[in-house]
Amino acid sequence: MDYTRFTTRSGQSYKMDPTVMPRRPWRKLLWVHQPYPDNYVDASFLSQLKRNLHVQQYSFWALSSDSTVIISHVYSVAIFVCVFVAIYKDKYNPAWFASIGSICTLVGYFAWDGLGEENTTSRTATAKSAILIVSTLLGLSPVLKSLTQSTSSDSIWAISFWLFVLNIFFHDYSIGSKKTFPPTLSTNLAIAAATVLASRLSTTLSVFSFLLFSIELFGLFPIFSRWLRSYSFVAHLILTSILAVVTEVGMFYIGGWWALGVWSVAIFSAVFVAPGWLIALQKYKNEIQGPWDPAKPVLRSR
Amino acid sequence: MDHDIDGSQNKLGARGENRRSNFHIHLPATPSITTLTRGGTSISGARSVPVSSANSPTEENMKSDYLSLRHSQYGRQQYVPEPTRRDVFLKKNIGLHSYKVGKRRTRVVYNYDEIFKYRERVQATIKQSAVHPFVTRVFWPTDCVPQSLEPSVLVGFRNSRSDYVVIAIFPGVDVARMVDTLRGRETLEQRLSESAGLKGAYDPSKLDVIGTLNFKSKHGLPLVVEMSSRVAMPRFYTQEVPIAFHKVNGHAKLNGEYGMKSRAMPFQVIFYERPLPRRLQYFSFMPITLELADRSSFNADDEDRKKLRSRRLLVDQMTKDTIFGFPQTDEENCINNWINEINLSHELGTLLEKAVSLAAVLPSESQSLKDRIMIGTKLLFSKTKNLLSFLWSLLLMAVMWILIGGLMLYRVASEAVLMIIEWQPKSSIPALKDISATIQQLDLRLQQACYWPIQYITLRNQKNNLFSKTTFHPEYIRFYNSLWLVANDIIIGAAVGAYIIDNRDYIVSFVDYCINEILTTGLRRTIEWLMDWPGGLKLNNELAAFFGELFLWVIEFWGGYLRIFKPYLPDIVYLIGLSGFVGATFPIALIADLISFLTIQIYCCYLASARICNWQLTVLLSLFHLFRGKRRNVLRNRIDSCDYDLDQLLIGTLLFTLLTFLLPTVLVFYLTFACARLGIIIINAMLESSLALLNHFPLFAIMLRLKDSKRLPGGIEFDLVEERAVGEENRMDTVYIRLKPIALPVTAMFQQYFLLSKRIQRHYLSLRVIALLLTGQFVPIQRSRLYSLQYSMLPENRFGIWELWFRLHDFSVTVRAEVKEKFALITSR
Repeated sequence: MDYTRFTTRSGQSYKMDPTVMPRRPWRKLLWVHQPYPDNYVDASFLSQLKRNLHVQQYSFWALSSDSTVIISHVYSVAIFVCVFVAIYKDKYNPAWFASIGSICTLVGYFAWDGLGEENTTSRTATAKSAILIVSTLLGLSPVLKSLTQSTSSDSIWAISFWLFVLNIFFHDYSIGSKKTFPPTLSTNLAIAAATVLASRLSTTLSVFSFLLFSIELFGLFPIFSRWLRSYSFVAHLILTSILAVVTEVGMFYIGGWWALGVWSVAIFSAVFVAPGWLIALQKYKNEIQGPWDPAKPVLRSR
Repeated sequence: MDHDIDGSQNKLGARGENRRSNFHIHLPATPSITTLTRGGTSISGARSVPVSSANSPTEENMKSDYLSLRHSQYGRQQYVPEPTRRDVFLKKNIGLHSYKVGKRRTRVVYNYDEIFKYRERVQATIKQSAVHPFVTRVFWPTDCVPQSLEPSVLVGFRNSRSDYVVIAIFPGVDVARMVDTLRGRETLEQRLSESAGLKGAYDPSKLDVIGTLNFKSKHGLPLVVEMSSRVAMPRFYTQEVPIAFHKVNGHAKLNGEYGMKSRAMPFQVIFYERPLPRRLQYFSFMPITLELADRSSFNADDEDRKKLRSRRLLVDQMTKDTIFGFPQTDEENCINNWINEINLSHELGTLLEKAVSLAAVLPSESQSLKDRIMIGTKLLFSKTKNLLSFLWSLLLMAVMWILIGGLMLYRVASEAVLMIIEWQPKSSIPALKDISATIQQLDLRLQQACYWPIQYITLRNQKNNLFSKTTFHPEYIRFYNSLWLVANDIIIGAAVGAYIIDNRDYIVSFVDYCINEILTTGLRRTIEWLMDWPGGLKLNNELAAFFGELFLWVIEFWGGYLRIFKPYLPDIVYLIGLSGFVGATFPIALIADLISFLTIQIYCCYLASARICNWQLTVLLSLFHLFRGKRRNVLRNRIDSCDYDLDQLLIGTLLFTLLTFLLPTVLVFYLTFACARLGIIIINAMLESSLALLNHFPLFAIMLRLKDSKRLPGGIEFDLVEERAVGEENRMDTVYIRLKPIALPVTAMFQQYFLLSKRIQRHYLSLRVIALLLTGQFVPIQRSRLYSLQYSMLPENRFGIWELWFRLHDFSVTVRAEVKEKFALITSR
């Protein structure tokens, strides 16, 4: 008879007939000496494995309504680009945009101030910081105007493009009633992009108006839109549709029908096609769970 | 030949079983120098050697005490120890000279990394039990062996029963009288009292008649030497059984039983040539130090000091852990004595010779006429000599009084100048000598001149003292080195000065050209170029224009002053030329100062642009943190995240973008001026290093090294001459070794320069400095560090006026006493 000789970790050796199963069943315990070789894998080893235990099923409409949050930020970036092109090509008076932006901001501020439950910052403090920012802008506009004169336009376009991509990437899309300001990095990226773009403009007035507009759009509008989102989702949808209309108009003015078409297709696919695609991909999901407490790396925040 | 020794061991072992172990224990009884015996290298005196000796402490001594020997010439078995981990460790950590072995040479290496090799070898030999404890060691002076090899008496030191240093050989002297002379002590003491320094320089109880050379009859002296010809090796016999033997055998019975026949003792003969003290030759374990001792520690900066401390600790640790843990015996301690005794040998020998000849002349009353005439002539001759020397010293004394007055006047004046030069109103404001190279040079010369009289008096006092004292030799070299350097400096300076004065017109036109073309027009052109997109760099036009106009204004402003200065240029060049007659160092220092003066505008522009650049970089860094929503926590020295207000964010980001785009413009202007400044610093550094060469070059030491290398000892070495079996049964052997001085290596003379260049490298060629330069921070130039070399020949605190006066007074008193003595010599019959 052909016996195989096994040596366990403790040095004991067993003679075992490989064809006959041993009497005592194998147990998944490391600290017990068992008459099995070290590399033995029992059939019951993975019996407690479970798959896709906590997977949620998405609903299409919920997904597409959530995607409007992203879309609304993309809309604001698009509006910003349209405004820049309009000012850059001297098509419109830059003061117009600044005034429209300021009026909207005032309206938004009063809505936010009146409807908000509690306000931590006093109105005088807000007014003070507004005056500070505006006067700083006034002071810096002439310097900014000549900042990138010696740099070629193409590099400026490239820089601002990447800054905006990063801005969209780092933006805070959470739905909640947090009173804090939007995340620092995305705001800073957007302001930096605005500054770089502003330095291409020709007159001090246009630089000032453009920067004021961009600060209202990237500094204040995200606060308002997030508050609105948490206040009433319908209001958010209404705001998004207003933005959509404004953007479509802007696109049409800048690039004509062609730009409008491309833009509409992109937005449509983001709102309707992408959620459907995500749901279609759910069947490939394979999440493993078991009783073995998988180690989760704990990353120390900050 | 191993079996011979082994055979003897076996015999011993056969008689008593316990003896063998005794034998092991008492091994270290023989003197602690490595011994060569036949059949390979073996070591006796295995015990560690005392570390702290009274007369010369410091770690250097420790180094020297560990002698070991590598033998590659004679032995059939070569003992070359494998490098062990400890060796490697030591070599890395102690980092002394590497282990040098000549091709056919046996060399004593006195390095730390030898200590363990030595130890291991000792342990190895103990295992072999091949060490002979009966070795008698004799130092044999080769230069005073009598020509005709007539019977002579050997006088020397008897450090122990197995360790002799022969210092003089007296031919044709009766042994009994020699013994009387030495042991009677009257004439000797009288003779020796003349040289006051001899007192305490050696142990008189050890000085004795220790043997005979080529004597037929026996006198009961320990050493008997036979020499058949001057070329042949002397043969040694001893009457005395070395102490080790008693120790080994323990009791008299054994001693009697195996009582060694006197001629059967093994010898270790070490030939040496007596160093001539009048020529300032001497032997030393340690290389002579050319700098002042307190200065060498002053020179060490923190890192050097740390290294030194760790080295000292290591040596401490190693020496605590002695090989056997026995208390040390005289035989071992004598290693410190014999080098001293060898250094004394010539002077003592001469004195003894005089004493002996005096003793020889005195008893003989009957003199022939011829002798009388001889003596009479001698007397007359010496009388005239005395008279002449008296007159000469009288003249000298008169001159000396004038000199002392002059010196004191000079000292007071120089003290006043030095006080002005070194005056610091505040610790933050640099003294005059730290600003100007010329004033630094003046300071150095004045300090040197203040130190010279004191050095001279020290040397002069030494003259009346014992010459064999080796402590004053470095002082002597230092004194004459600085004198030579000054003389040299003046000679070169005269040539340079004459050259400058002769070519004044050309130099003036050249300096004029430099001022016009480089410092004014050249700079303006560079700045205009910077204002106009230099090398395709797209700078901010407005900022570049602003900077350019600012710097152009500074340059124009200084250019106006330079224009005022220009007519005086010929006079200034003439002055520089004239200063050459005080020494070449002065024109060089003046040129360095002139360059600093002419380029003040570059320095100003550099300072301004560096400030701006550094400020901008700092602001950019903190704004970058803001950009990322972080901030620097100064208290914990880390970056924390932070929620900024919206207005802070907006303004911060605006400024960040602004400053980022302005940075290249600022950097370009800064780097231009930084490079200009660097160039000026390099030129000045070159001039100042030539100053260091002129002020510190070891000229005298090199001259001495070429003339007589024995005056600059760098250690000792042992050469194996021959080993020979002597005596019956071919059992005992005599080893002949030659003791030679090693001359100070040239690299050791320039040690200071190596140190300095290493330090400069560490301070100025490091990444830290490059980072400082790039960020526009001030790179400190520690002049005092650079100049430490120049002052290394001077004491740290100069001697005060009163100190000088007292010394001069004492000196005059001694001179007066000398003159009186000479006067007494003349007047006495």
